[in-house]
Amino acid sequence: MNHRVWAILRREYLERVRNKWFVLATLLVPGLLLGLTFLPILLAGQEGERPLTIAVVDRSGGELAERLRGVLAREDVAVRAFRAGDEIETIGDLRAVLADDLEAARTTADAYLLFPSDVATFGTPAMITVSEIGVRERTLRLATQDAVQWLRARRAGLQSGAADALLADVEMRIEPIDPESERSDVYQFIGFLFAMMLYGMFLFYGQMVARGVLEEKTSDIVEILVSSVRPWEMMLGKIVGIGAVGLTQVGIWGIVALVLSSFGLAGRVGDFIGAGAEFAQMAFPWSILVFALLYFVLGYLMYSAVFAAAGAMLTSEQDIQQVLVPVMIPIIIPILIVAPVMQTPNRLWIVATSMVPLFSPILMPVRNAVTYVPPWQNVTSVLLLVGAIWLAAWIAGRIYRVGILMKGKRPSIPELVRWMRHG
Amino acid sequence: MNATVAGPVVRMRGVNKAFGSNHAVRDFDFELPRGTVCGLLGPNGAGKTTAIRIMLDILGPDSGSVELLGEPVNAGVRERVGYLPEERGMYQKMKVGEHLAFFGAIKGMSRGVARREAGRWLERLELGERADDRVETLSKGMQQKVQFIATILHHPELLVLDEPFSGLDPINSELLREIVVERKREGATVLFSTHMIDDAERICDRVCMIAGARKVLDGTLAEVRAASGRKDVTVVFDGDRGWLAHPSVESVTDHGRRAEVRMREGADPQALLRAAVAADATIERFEIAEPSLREIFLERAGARGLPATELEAAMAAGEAL
Repeated sequence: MNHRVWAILRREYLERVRNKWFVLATLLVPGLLLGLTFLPILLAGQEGERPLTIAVVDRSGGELAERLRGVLAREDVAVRAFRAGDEIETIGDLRAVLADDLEAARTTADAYLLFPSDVATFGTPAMITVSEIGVRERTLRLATQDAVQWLRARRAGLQSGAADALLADVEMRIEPIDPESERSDVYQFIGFLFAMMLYGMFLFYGQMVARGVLEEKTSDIVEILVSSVRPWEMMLGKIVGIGAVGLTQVGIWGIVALVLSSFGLAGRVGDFIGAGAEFAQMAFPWSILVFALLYFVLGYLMYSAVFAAAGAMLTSEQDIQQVLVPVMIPIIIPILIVAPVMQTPNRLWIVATSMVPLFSPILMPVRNAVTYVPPWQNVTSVLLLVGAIWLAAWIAGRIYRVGILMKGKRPSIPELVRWMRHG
Repeated sequence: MNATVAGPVVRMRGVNKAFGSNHAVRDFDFELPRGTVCGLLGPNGAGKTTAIRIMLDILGPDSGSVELLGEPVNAGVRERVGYLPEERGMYQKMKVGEHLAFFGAIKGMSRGVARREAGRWLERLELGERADDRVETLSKGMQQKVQFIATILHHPELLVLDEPFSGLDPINSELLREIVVERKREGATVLFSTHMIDDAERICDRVCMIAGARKVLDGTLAEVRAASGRKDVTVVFDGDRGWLAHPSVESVTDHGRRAEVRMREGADPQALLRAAVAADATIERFEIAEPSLREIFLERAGARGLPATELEAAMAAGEAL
């Protein structure tokens, strides 16, 4: 790398890193991500902390309230009998009684639960809520179901202990024969995060390269530059300089993540995705991270070369979307198929697609996160990708060389082919 | 400065360049001796900018060869050249000082030296206070001066300036002319294109004229004038006027006592003077004038079948700037 490339690289890097938008975006993106992740948790947490009171009208014999009380005690839900309900047989009766003195009904309980007399056979319980019960509706449903099933088991003649055993939760573990090949939901979460971040970074920084080239064209700086610097030097300096901005941003995010995780962030994220303890305790998946970084760097080099050529073809701001959309398609496709890739990462078509250089920068990090990828696949995809970078740089360099001095009309496809041939 | 090169600073041989069916430069031969200031003249669209771009290896010629400072254009040579294009861009968001340091750095200067030199030049061009301002806050004329500094910052041996004075107010364009002449005194070779012939007559040692993609004139001012081979005579006289029909005269504009005489090509004005004296006319004044560059240019361009009125209009427009 000579002093010209270095000077361009340095300028691209410093001008962008010093820019207030860079600082803002770097702070805002994790802030937004954290906000989106934690706001629901915090809100849900507050909802969960409010104690509820359920008033029960049991026409079936009086055992259900007791059973419910036992189950719901852990959930901070108080259960009491609804005394005023001797005449109540149907949900309509219940509604009428509550409507008589709604104020009193509200102060007494949050919800009124009616077990009709035939609930032990085919009758169904019913509930009227007088204040919002929010996300704990599910808890109440499960507890009510448990209570009715327990009553039915008892009525069928089971002892109390036998009924408990019958109703105890049954969970099944499923493990593949090769424990390496499937990983927990935590890794699915990481894989998805990689896909989204790589997608966002490729698009963002790719467009930054294209816009940077266009800016130099429209402002006529390019004319002065090409008298001192070869086009390939300009392209290399710009791509590497902007890439360094991207790495800086990733680095800052990495440090923020490490600092936050030392404050127990991992556990809370884990809670949210339903794998709390495991997430908090798992060893940090360095190898997966290294793969993601490697594919980020290589993928960026390939895509940004194409973006640079696209920028050189542009002659005005208005053309940007028309020219850039086709270039963005290879980056968008992996996101469209990321769900099947995460669910069945070792299917033949997925393995094949994930090694295609156009898609591998996003799909391989995802597969490496969610499954065990044989080394030959990683090595092959990296080699293919390096080859693709070389090819992209060669083609892009030729288009760039002619394109940056081009004004007026955007080139047609045959013209582009001519540029590539004669460059 | 590299004093080992004795030959011409620029040497172009048989250069052709066409864009599609449009020939921008035809059979262009050009040599620029070291230490001269050369004006590249011609109306808009004549091919000046294309010739310069080929000279600096920004465009490849379709045929022909280019050497700068005695070598085919390479990275080392490029660093010894300063180029101010007609279409000048700047990084609008950069600070002026940073901008200059950047252009110094791509020419191989260390950042410290580049910054120091930039500061010195900014002072001289009355922009010393603006080094830490963003380029976009500068007026167009100020930006033009900063671009000029970026072109000369690294002490280039060859300065190529495309329309350097256009758009500047008289004071600033005089200042830049001064600097161009000063660069020349320090050994630099300067080529600048212009469609303002007066610029060329004032500071050039040489001129090269392009019209319709071809070179029509090339040489020192004296050579160019001499080569035109035609003289104009202004006579103030009394008495007989028959001698004005002398065979060496092509045309006469007669103002009574004063006549402006256009001589035939190659004719000797002294023969006309002898004829006048022989005819007993009283000669008060007999002045031989070499034609101006403008006239030579129009004549040469016209000889190539170019529409003289269009050229005249183009030159006049240039002068008006």
